[in-house]
Amino acid sequence: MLLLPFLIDQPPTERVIARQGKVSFFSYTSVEHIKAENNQVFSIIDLDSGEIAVSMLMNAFVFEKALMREHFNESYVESDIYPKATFKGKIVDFDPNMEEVQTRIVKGVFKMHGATKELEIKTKIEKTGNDFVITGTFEAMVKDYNIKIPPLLRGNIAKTISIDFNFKYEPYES
Amino acid sequence: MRKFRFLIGIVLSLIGVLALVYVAMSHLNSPDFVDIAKVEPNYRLEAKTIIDLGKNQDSNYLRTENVVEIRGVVKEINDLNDRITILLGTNKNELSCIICDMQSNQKEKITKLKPNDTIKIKGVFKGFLQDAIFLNCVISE
Repeated sequence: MLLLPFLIDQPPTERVIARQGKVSFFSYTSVEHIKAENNQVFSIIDLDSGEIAVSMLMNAFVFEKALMREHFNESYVESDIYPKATFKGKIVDFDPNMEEVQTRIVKGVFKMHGATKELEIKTKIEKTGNDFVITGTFEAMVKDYNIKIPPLLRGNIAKTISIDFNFKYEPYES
Repeated sequence: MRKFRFLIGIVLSLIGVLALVYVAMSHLNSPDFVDIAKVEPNYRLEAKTIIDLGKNQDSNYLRTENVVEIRGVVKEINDLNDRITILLGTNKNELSCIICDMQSNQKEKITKLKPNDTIKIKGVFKGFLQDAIFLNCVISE
């Protein structure tokens, strides 16, 4: 709850929230494919300003194998020290009234594992009634987030991780 | 006789190595699944207590990865992201709730549930965002 005060504590404007956003990441190497998903990602959008905030618990990623989850949490993202990843930014030229599908750039700052990175992400925004669905994909370099991979496991983890997201937003009634 | 003992020794060593490899491979490939139904909870709490802990940002009481049995009111049951999720709350109109990501073996029990039912759910606490998040949840008997 700490992380989104800049949107939640604002004077009442029209906002939409997603409690169960989905973020998946994929690492493909010749040795091993690793896939994980987090289905409880929180996000809020201020429809007037186009400001967007996203927050996720790093220990809520679900893996195919238990050992992958252990390595991810204990050795790579150190989720006990850095429990959350956050994104704060703005949807450029966002029109909340547009009924057609919009393709927009989201500019903002992504924080994970103590590292901060400015991102520009291409997203697709669909409006159905008062709900919005925002989807997109971007890539992240492991080295940008201070994640150290032991030499023995370098072949198992890709240098560039592909990240997909899908958020369904509903009106936020505060 | 010495040759026979040597052979027995080799066979036993091979069996030992194979057993070790089997155990190691089982560990490496074990699926990310724990049957929470068989796990004794660390805490038994009301949904309101958990929501209040989240509101007060009191993260010292509940520790992540603790198994908690929660008693609360069903606010919503959905299948967003192809997963079964129960949102638990209180009788009041709270903005925050408890998100319970259910284990796939709970489908049959969930078909009997409807909003406003009071139930007990057991799951692994992952932390607070706007809501409290629990994974691997099962309906407690």
